[in-house]
Amino acid sequence: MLKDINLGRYHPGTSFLHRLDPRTKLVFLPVYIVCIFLARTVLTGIAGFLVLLALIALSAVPLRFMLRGLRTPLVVLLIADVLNIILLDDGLRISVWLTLRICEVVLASNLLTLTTRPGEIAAGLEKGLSFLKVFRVPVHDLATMVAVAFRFIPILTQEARDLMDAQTMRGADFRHGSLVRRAKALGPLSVTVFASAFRRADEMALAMDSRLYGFSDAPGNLHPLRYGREDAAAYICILCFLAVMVLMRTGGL
Amino acid sequence: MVRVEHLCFGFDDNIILRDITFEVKDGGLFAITGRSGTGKTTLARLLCGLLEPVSGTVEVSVQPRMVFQFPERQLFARTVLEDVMYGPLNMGMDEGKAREAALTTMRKLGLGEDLQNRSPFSLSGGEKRLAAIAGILAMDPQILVLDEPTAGLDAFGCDALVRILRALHDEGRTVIVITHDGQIMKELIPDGHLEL
Amino acid sequence: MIGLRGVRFRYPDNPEGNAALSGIDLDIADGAFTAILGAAGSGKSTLAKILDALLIPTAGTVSVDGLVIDSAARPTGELLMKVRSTVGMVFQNPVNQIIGDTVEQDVAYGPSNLGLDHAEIVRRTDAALRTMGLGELRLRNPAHLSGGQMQRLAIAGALAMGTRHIVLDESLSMLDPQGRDEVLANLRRLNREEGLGIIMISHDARDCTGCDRFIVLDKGRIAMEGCPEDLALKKDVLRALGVRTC
Repeated sequence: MLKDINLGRYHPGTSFLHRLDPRTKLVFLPVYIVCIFLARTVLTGIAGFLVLLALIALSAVPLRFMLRGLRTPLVVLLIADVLNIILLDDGLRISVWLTLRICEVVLASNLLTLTTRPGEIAAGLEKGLSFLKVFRVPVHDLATMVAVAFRFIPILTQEARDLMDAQTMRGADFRHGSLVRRAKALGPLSVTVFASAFRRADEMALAMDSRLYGFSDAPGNLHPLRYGREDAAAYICILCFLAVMVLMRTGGL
Repeated sequence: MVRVEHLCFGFDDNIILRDITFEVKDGGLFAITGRSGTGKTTLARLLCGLLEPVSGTVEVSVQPRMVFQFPERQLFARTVLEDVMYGPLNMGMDEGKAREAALTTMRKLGLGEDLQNRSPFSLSGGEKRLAAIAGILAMDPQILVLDEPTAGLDAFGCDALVRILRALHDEGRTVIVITHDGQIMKELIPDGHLEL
Repeated sequence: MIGLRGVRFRYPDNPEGNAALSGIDLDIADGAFTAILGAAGSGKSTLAKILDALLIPTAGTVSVDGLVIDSAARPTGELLMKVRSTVGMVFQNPVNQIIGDTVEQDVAYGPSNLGLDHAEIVRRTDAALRTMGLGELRLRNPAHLSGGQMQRLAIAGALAMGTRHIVLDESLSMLDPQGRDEVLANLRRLNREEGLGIIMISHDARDCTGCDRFIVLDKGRIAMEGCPEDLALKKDVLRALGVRTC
């Protein structure tokens, strides 16, 4: 199950999506989420889903990576669906929409992280939100935090596995035994995971200090972000999609 | 006793261990050496049952216990004593017996009484390593696997560790050491050796 | 030229206990390969951080190429920037000092933070990658490198900032023998061919083969100084001070 946590796992590639400026992708994600929640009919629901499928195909990321992050939300969703169907009058319709939308959100987020490196996401956030600097918002720090968090996720999930092994050697059982017993094993695990995360963060902060993090108001970039023709095309598509969904919603479709 | 026959392990297209065969007799002192990335830690995990072989067999007379390379991986309790007691308690010992086992083990390893009630996070590197070994040793394992026990230790730490490994060997336990430290190999003089 | 005079350091969360450093006087010439040895707790890491201005001494002064950091005044941002550009640091854990997504981004991190213009960042990154033989790996994810390669990457990152002295804080202790040889060979080449100053901090005398001189710290003081021949001749003394020898 730990293997399935997809967030932060960049999948190298040269597809159209990989080549897009990170800002374009960062704009697309919230717009897409708004659109799928605007959808109320079968027509718009399918349209939203087809758009996602098209993008997944465009990304050239193997399906098994794209689908990995879905297992846990699906388990939770299925429980919610069963409850909805049993308890609510309109349960089936609500369940279908809920499941569809959550899956779409997860898949769209995966699309972003699988095709964009953490550093690129940070650079995109920083450049895109740089207007906030006028209001004294620490944009550079926030963008760095996002990038470091993304970078740590695969490291920590890998480490959690090692930590589980270490405690298993001491007789902790994460897989068998009563739920109570298994839950008890999580206590020591969470302490070690947090301790490890803090230690890594400490060491990384020192390394960043030694390489002068935060010393310039205008840090440079090896590959400065620049919009290209593909980004223009992408923005046009995004705007069209949004416009269509809004129109269909207001038109009762 | 540990017997490994034609062990293979890997995932996706990546073969990490290919046709490994060796045997460690009861009470033996065995060393596994090799460059980083050759699968030493993977082999250790297979020996301890943390991983399943893709093919081949791993036969052990009792459950081996492994001390991992980084003590921070297992230290978690509020005090060192509580931490060392974790293993024995998990084995079903009652609190009194577990405390006794923990205290005896700590004394054997030279972890002074003043360390008992301290947080494991406040210990020095060498002390943490001893605390981690104590945590496993308190469970009285007949087969012990240690992953790079001397990595990063200064001369005092190394001497202490070599003494401990020899003592464990003298007690009749089966000790398997994974190391790339040539100097330690010379001091330990293992009965058997596998180079990956 | 790096000079330390009467440097003391006490960690703020341990005001009653022993000081980490109790009076260090040390001169390090440009282009020298100096080894600082000692057991765990001898003050080595503290000294490493003071050399890179990551810690400010609680007493005494540190001067780097004429720039002075003393305990009395808080150093300005500009002073810290100059010192940390002149003295680079490679840490013990190869993984936790990686900041970039790709090898080239990691090397470019320092120059980017210096606010240099784009052409200069590219030039320095390319030069550092070339010097450390990492050109072919430039688009690789640094997390997938070997330990030795990661430490070489860290050195490249320091070089790109224009450092003239590299402090290596136990940087070889987590590497296997091949990784260690790889990094040491690169360091000795940089020292010989580029005149880069090397300050190797370790608990293992084998890490300083090729050094010009070494000092040994014990409980925050300099307990011994010597030249390379002494590493072999004075093994017992070194072991008694907690330093591993061949």
